[in-house]
Amino acid sequence: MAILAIIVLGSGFFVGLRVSREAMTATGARYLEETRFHDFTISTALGLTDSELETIRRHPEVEAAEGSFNANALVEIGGDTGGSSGVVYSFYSLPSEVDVPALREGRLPSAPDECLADAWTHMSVGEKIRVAPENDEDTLELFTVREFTVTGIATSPLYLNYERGSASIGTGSVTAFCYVLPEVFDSEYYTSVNVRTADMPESFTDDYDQRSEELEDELQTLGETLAQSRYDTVVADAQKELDEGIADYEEGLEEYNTQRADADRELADAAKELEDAKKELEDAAQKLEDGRREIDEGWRELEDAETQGRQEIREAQDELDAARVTLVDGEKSYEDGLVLYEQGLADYNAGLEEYNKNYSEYEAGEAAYAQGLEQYNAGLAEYRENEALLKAAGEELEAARAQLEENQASLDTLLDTLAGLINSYVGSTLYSDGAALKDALLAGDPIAVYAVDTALAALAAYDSSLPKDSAELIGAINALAAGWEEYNKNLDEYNAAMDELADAWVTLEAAREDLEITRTMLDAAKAQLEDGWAELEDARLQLESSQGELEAARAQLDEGWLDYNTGLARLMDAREELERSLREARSELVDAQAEIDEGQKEYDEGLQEYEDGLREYEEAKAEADEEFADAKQELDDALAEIEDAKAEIADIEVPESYILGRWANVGYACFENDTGIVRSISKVFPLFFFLVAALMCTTTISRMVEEQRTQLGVLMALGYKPAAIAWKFLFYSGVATILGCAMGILSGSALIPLVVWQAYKIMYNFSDEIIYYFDVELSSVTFAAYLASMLIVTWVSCRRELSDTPANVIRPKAPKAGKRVLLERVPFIWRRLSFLWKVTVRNIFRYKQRVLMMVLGIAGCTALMLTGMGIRDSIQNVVDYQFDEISHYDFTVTFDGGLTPEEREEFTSGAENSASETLFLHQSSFTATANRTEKDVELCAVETDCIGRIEDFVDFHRGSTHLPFPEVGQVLVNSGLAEDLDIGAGDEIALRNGDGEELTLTVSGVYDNYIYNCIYISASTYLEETGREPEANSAMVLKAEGVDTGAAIADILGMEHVVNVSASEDLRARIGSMMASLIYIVLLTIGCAAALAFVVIYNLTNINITERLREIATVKVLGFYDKESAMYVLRENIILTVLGAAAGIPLGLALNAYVIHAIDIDLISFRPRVLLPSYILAVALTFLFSLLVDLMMCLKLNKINTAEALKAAE
Amino acid sequence: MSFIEFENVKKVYTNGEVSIEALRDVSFTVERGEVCVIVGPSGAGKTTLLNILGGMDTLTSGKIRLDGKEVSAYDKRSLITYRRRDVGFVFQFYNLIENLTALENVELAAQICEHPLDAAETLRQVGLGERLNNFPSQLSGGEQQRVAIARALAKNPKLLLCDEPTGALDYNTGKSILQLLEDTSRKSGMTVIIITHNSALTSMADRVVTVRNGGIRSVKLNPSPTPISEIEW
Repeated sequence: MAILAIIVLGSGFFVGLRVSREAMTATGARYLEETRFHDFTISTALGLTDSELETIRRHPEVEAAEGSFNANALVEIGGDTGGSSGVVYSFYSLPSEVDVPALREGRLPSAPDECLADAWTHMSVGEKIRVAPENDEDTLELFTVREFTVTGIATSPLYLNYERGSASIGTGSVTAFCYVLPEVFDSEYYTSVNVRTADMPESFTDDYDQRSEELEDELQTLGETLAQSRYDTVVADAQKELDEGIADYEEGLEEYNTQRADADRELADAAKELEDAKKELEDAAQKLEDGRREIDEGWRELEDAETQGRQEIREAQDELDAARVTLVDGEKSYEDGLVLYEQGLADYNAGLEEYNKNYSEYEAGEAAYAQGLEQYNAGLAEYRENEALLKAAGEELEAARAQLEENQASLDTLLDTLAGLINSYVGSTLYSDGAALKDALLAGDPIAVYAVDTALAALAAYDSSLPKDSAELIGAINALAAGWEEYNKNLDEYNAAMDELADAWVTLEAAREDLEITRTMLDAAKAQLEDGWAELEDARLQLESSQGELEAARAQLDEGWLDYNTGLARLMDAREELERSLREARSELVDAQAEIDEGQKEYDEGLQEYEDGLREYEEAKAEADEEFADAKQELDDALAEIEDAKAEIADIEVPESYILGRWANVGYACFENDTGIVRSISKVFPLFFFLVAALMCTTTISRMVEEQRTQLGVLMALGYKPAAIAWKFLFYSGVATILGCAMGILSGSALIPLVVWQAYKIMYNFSDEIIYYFDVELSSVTFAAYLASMLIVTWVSCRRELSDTPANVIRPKAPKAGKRVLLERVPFIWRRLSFLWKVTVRNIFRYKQRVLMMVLGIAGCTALMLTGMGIRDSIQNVVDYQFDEISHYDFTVTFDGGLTPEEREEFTSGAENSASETLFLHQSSFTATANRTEKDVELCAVETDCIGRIEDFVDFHRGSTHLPFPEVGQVLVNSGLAEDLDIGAGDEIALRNGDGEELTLTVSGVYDNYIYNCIYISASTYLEETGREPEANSAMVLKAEGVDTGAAIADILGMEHVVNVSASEDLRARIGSMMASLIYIVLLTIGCAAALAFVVIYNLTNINITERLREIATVKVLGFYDKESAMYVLRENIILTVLGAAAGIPLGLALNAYVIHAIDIDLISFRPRVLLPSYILAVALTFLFSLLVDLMMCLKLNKINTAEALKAAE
Repeated sequence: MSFIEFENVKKVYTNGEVSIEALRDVSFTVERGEVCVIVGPSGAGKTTLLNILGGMDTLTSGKIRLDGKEVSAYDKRSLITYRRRDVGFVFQFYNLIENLTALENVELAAQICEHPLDAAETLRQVGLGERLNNFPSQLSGGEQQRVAIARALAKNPKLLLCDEPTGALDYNTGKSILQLLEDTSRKSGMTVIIITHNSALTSMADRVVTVRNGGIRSVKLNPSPTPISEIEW
């Protein structure tokens, strides 16, 4: 029965898993067909109208097309009236041809205030949904009805899975969809047109994808046509409106102008009248003023005149008084002057007398001086004479002296010479010098005389001027001496004469000095006399003038007295005159004042009238102005609007048209991905199961044949043909296989897809059941494979026995001979082993085939479990790994084109509440080619000045090595791409995009990355290669702290130029739920692996025991306790389990790697990873099962009836 | 008090509805040091008797005593202990462990009892001193049986139970085996019980128990047993 079990498991799992994918896609495809899911959705930035819809319908490839309205709005649900709390619904118009929702409960809406609710929300029929009032104007105006009652619950083909998309309002994500009748939407154009094309292949197949791509290209032109037509319409409509507006404006302007003109005119007239009146009043006022002023002036003049008159009189009075005083003073002065004059005259006369006296003294002095001078001069002449005489005498003396000295000198020299000569002649110093010789000579020393004579005689030969002999010499000496005497006498005389002369000079000097003093005194006296004469002259003149003055003064005084008297008389007359004129003037002024007062009264009345008139005018004017100002403002506004409209119309561009295939639908894409995963897993896994199962069965069958050996032998002995006997076994195994396969395939095809679908229902709710897919081909192949292998094995096993002689066969098979094992050669270890271990070791080597099977079986199952868990590890942690260690950014934002630096600034500052850091970059799709393989990639070009910051957003590393950003001409490539294209650092890669731009770059490094194929270059590289600056059409954003993700998304989506925001969080969640579903599959796999392990171990151990029953019985009989007996057998199992688990681990890793590589999803590239807990778990489970089996075996062992066993062939 | 006592031993095999009485009210005794031969036709119940005595099987009712101890009342574990220490078995088909050498086979048995004899010595005693390190497959039938006997002897049991020990051996070899058994009994005073269907062997026994149809036919004492060497059949 074990065989049956194994076959069921093996075939069931194999086929079931294989078939799961088909079942899933079939289910999905059926749903999409039933709901008539679109093949393409067409839209433009200006929407599409019925005329475009017609155009689309006429396209040959289009089978059906339907326009759809769609709008997101905040809603209130049910009884909530307290605001929508951010819940956003996506409202769709209920279609009838394409993308028709599938009704689950209730009925379709038939009135505008009815709707279909989203089955995912678990709402019920009858509940109410309201478009919340806090939506903005535009949104509210879109809905003609704002409150809906749910009449039915449905699923929508547009949303296969739970994701509902993001919104730029509320929480940032759409909670659910809601279908209402098209009439509800107040819009001129459809949001999109959904299209089904003819003759499309099955959904989720490669054929479909290919056809879709082809059609997409074809439909591009259609799209452009639609866009153009839309543009034309919109512009034409706008232009028409604009023209109407302009006409209205001009009319209004005209009217305004006319009315204004009239009003102005009326007001002008009124103004004029008022002006005139005013003028008159002013004149009158003026006149009154003048009058008043005149009067005032008059009064003032009067005053002035009075004052002045009195003043004059006073002044005149004063003058007269002053004149009088002056006269009196003058008299006095005159008297004084006269006295002074008299005195002066007397003084003068005295002075004159004195002068004369001094003059005569002076003259005497002069005479004395002249005399003295004469005497001096005579003395001086005498002196000079004596002086000259003495001088001559002196000169004579000098000459004599000189001569004497000369003689002296030559004599001395001669004497010295002589002395010398004598000394030398004598041979001794007779005379120390010439002086000594001289003395000797003079003393009459004969020696000296003789010597000298001799010497002189000798010398005479040389010099004839010398004395000839001593006598001459002495004579010379004496002469000289006499000469000196005389000289000295003369000298004394001279000196005495000199002294006398000196005295004479002194006397002369004294006389001279005296003369000088006298001179000086005389000069001074002269000067004084002269001064005195000058003074006298002055005094005389002065006296003369004083006299004249006195006479004049007298005359003046007399005149003055005369004038004074006259003036006095005149003054009295003037006084009288003044009084009289003042009186007259006063009365005149009083009259004038009275006149003025009357005039004033008249003026006041006139003024009042004027003021009333003025007020009325002003009021009227103000009213008019206001009205006209308003009118003007309106016209100005209208003009501004017109200008704006003109600008807007000019701004309208031909919109982009979007042809989106099914790949753009999130639900569809996710579903495809998920089935892809299932397919990948189903490729490898079950095959392995199949193999293991087949192997197991093989063993079992051959074992069974051996067990039946005796029977076989008997049959042979009885004479049955081998073929017939074989047939029996073949039949048995055949039936088992057929039954097993049938059960397995059927139950597998039913159960496993069910389990898988249950798992995926977490995410997909469009179908409760899965379509059961019976893959005839696969089943047949499996069936055939199993059957074939079983039969072959059976046959082979049989053959062995059948070819033997019956007798031998009957006999029980000789137990296998014991043999020495290699380990025995190592006595060191061998000796230490106890028996039981020795037995075990020998057994292991003895039953090689069985051991091999066991190890393989266990290894296989460990491997399967490890792989199962490894799949989970590799896939699950991808998400964490990617987002924790590689992609640090929270959002990627897509813009509608390249942003200028100003626009970037705007974005950064506008999003500062939601984004803490932003990095702008260029991102576009390229096809990468290398080694003749092509892959689609996203090329990211980063500005040079942003490269430094890129670390904050993406962490480039390979394993634990950090990678630097690529240089110019280089590209940093992700690991998934590198594997697909089989390239590494240093290799070349060619990139090409839809515009035909090409880049050829060197790979600078390969960085670990699991999600998407993103390669990085610097902006300079892009520029260098394409000649074009890359546009900043995308940005990576780090979310600001403490900000809710949904709110941040809504915030950023609402900004200008932003087309899309994707959050890493969402991707994480999506993959996370993808993984959650996968867990079920993995668990299923593990479960089956476990079951298989169990069966394998059980089976093999069973066989083992059966083979060695006798041995075991013997051991029992020998007295081994139950445990010991059990261990005897099961010890091997333990070792084999260890070996098997150990072998299973690398096998599992390899298998895991293979499976992971086989999982081929667009988005993600996995890296095979098995975490430590998985290892431990896989091995632990293996041991656990082994142990369980062993325990079961123990029980069996204990039940062995030793007696029976040992009886054997009795 | 006899060494071995069977007292009203009954053994019934029940297989569903069918009950087979293998032993019916068996009672007999064996004294220490005796060579006791149990004879009877095939299916008489000899082996059953031996098995129960050897603790390999349980009785339905009755008592069996060995050396005063009531073996039949032992629980499973005690039975095993009993078997371990007190009983040595020799089977018709030797039942040696193929993976162990002759010496190891004997050691295997020796190591589990309390006072074993030296394995090598025992083998020598049975005449296999040269074949200590040979595997059973390398030994002839007789040699294998000797090893089996040595194995049983090495345990130093109180009792040696032999179930058709010569059944698989030829005449001469069988004889030598029997000789060995006889010698062992005589020399060491061990109680040896031999089951055989060959009535010629009864003359070597001290006691002959005849079993027929699950019951004791007769118990005969033989005061002067014939040595094996003299018996011909």
